[in-house]
Amino acid sequence: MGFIQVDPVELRQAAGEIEQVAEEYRGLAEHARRATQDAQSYDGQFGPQVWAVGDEAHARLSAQADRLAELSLELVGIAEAFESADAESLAALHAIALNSQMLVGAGLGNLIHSLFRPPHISEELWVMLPVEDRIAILQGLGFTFFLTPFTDPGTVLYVTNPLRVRGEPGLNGEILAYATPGSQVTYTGVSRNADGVEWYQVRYLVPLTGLVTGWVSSHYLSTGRSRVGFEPETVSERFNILTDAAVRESGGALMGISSDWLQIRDGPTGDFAVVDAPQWGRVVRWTGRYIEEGGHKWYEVIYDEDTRGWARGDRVDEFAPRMDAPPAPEGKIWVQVQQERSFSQYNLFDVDNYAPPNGDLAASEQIRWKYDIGPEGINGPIEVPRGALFGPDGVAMQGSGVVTVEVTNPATGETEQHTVYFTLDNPGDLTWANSEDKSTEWSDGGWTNGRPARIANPDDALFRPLPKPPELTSEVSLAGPPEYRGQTIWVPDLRNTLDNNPYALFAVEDAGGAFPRGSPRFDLYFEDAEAGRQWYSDFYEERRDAPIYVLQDIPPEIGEGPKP
Amino acid sequence: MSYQTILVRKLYRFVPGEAHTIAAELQAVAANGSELAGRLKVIIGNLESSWEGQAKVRFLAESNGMPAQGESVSDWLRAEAGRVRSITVERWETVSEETWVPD
Repeated sequence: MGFIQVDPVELRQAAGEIEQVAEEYRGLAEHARRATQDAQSYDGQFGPQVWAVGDEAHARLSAQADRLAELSLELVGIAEAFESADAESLAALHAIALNSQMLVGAGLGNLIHSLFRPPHISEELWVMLPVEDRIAILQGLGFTFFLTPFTDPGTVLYVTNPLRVRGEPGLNGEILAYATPGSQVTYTGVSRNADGVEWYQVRYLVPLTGLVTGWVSSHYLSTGRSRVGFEPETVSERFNILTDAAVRESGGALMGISSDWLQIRDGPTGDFAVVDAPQWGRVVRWTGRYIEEGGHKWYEVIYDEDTRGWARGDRVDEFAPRMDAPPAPEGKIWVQVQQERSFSQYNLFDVDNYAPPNGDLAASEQIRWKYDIGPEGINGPIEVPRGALFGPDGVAMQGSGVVTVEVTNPATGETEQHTVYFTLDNPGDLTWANSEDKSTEWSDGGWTNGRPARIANPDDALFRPLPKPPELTSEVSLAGPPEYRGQTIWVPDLRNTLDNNPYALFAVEDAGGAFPRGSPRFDLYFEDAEAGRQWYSDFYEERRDAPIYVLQDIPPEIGEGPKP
Repeated sequence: MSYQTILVRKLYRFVPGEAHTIAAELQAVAANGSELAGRLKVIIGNLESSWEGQAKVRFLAESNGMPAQGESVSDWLRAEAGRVRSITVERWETVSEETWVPD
């Protein structure tokens, strides 16, 4: 019999501490970038190296922060799972006793109830015992059935933590969708154990894109939205609700979410169910009511027509709208999106048209890399002419390319032609050589040893496949995650750089199934008519922090929306 | 024979003045990162001693490497700070020199 000892309060405290460390890592990431970004170039000898250090430091420190934030959330989820199991176990015990009473009479019902509460333990103490202790005692008596309370196919379960819906059970399963806390999934009745976790196959209705069937960790599911005894209507009985009169009389105050997620709960402790968890940057309305509990100030907030609840005050900040924002439609407000990627601009080289551009580079020299093509799953090495490394002017490709390749389909044995989009990941690692094999590099507006004719170390080139850019339907197209389909986004950094679009507003035209909900990534595609090329620009590296704004409904006024 | 003034190009090598300031800032970030890694180690250590069960085993398997990873970022930053401090740049400048010219 396994031994379990856990204090969810301690787990929550540790989660808070880890989150604090994550925040401080974020601060360090910004510090490193600020310290380096103003370095002078010195003709490219100093500045670019220092900027690169700053960018790399920012990336490494941010990655550390992101991972810690995930761990913190995971820890909160574990605490909630234990608390939830606690409530489930109690509810199951009482239900069995009650059903037994109804079915076979009070005598046997009481007997069964007594059986579940061993006679040497008083009812008061039994209720107070941590669930692990009760489970351990009952397992000792041979009772284990209530450890898996969700067994009926078709059971609707509530998501208690930001949750990945995966294609396969296990932590390595492909992520199909992100389910937000408070949303519902339907259990198909199929479960598997993987990576030490019980995974449930569920159906989840992804907003805008439809129903998916996938696997989720059962740790983060609950049969009821609230724990027994922690329903929203119990808040006023349990806690002293205070009011900030000034905020209340002014109709509430808009607050911006300053943590990755803001868990809006039915009440001001982790015992209450999460109603919704909007992301960083979104705006909620504080009603002016608050509760001081557990060392925190909890605000009563309204997010939308369906969502009103309590949120920790240290997860929100006063909201200051950007004064330079484009006019927003009635009832809407521009809010910043939390994004994982930002800009870089790639020239999409048409390799077929120029490779091999240099006389001494044989077309037969090939570069091989692995690439999956299409649902047929051709997963073999694909050969690209080494000329892909050169542009028509003998300058190495330093961005993205498109090339037609021939591959043999292992299933049919037939040769097929495929168009492959790719990018060179490490142009800085390549060494140029002139026609006499002498090293040459660009310096002070000229080549130190004459024009380059080849790359001395082509085998060091690292390529990365790119998704196929969408068909262009206008001067600028934009692809984004499914939940932004049809929405307008505003990119302040591009303001006044585009003809006829001074604000740089874009409609998300292509939902591009590759963008998972919950981790926004926006790709912009420009058509450069003059050069006759398509430009591929995604929010990555160069402008990692370029903000993107979307329109959000202004949260309803106090008094509207669902009652707490 | 006489002296004549001619223009010559001279190569100057120097460490930019701001290199030291930037390196010091990066060192400070590295030091703070080390301190955070230490705090993280304590937090995880406390969890390890007060919590038992499979969930703990799984969570610690994921989180135990984080302090070392944080320290490794700090080590890298220290090394980069040292490199930035010693970056030498070159500048060609045209200067006039007195040169002895035979008649």
